[in-house]
Amino acid sequence: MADNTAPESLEAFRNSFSYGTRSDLNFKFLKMMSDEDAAAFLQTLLHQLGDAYDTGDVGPLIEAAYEAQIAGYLPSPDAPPPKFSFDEGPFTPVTTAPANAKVGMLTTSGHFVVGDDPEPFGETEMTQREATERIGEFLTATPSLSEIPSDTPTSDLRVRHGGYDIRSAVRDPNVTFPIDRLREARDDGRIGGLASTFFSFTGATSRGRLRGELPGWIERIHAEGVDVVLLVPV
Amino acid sequence: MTIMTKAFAGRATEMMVPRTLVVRHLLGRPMGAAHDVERHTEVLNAAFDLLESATNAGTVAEFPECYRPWPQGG
Repeated sequence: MADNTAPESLEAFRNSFSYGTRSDLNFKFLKMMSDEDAAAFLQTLLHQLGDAYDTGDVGPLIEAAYEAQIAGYLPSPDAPPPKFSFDEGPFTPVTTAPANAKVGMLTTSGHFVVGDDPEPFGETEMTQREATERIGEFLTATPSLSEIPSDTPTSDLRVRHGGYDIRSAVRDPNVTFPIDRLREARDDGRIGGLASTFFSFTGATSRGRLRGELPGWIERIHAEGVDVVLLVPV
Repeated sequence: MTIMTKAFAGRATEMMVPRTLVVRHLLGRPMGAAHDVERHTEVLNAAFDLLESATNAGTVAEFPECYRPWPQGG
């Protein structure tokens, strides 16, 4: 019979933030930290919070979280070599200045237009919470590319993604899908024009299946006649 | 032209992404805080600058400013 009164280990506590009982997509990196580093981070966070009580300055608090994110996502020394590592890569020189360029956009933010829900796994109106709970299925599924007309009102955008905290993107889609900023850049003459359609998908997906989809996706982007594509991975 | 948060910047280097602007922003907020139009615009302009200045694959530039919360909240 399991001993339910046993004290929770720090490791179990850390792990609970990564799709566990305390799931929090801002802090899921705790799972990847050592007990010592996680304890030091939490101590720093609480210390900075204590300062913020008096100063009202949350900057150091945010900086502590930012630094911990970076440390948390660093590959561990015993990690296998990265699967997608290359000595050289493609490069297309710019022949059209931004002021004359037609710009497209592809993000992994999980945005779509209201009424055009990609309905993952056939689920209608899947919630963010459900997406988070089903992250394992997303990671093995074929991704779906959402088409978003570049004149879509931001109020018609929706976002769902089980891999990152979408609260900021819900408050303002431009945080991960800078559609208003691109329209402003066009209106200000910073860029020459916009694709008629932007694209977004849920980046938490099967890499192998994504590779299978990419040729078709690239064709769709090329069909927009763009000179430049802004990529925003999240 | 890619805008990527610092925590994942190493992946851009590994993959030899043509042009990457690394931002010192929190995950899930690559352009900056919600409603911080000024910061979003600065990031986008820095990306366009990089578009013109990069001469080879694997070019990585860092946006110098740290993440800041939008003072009026969301």
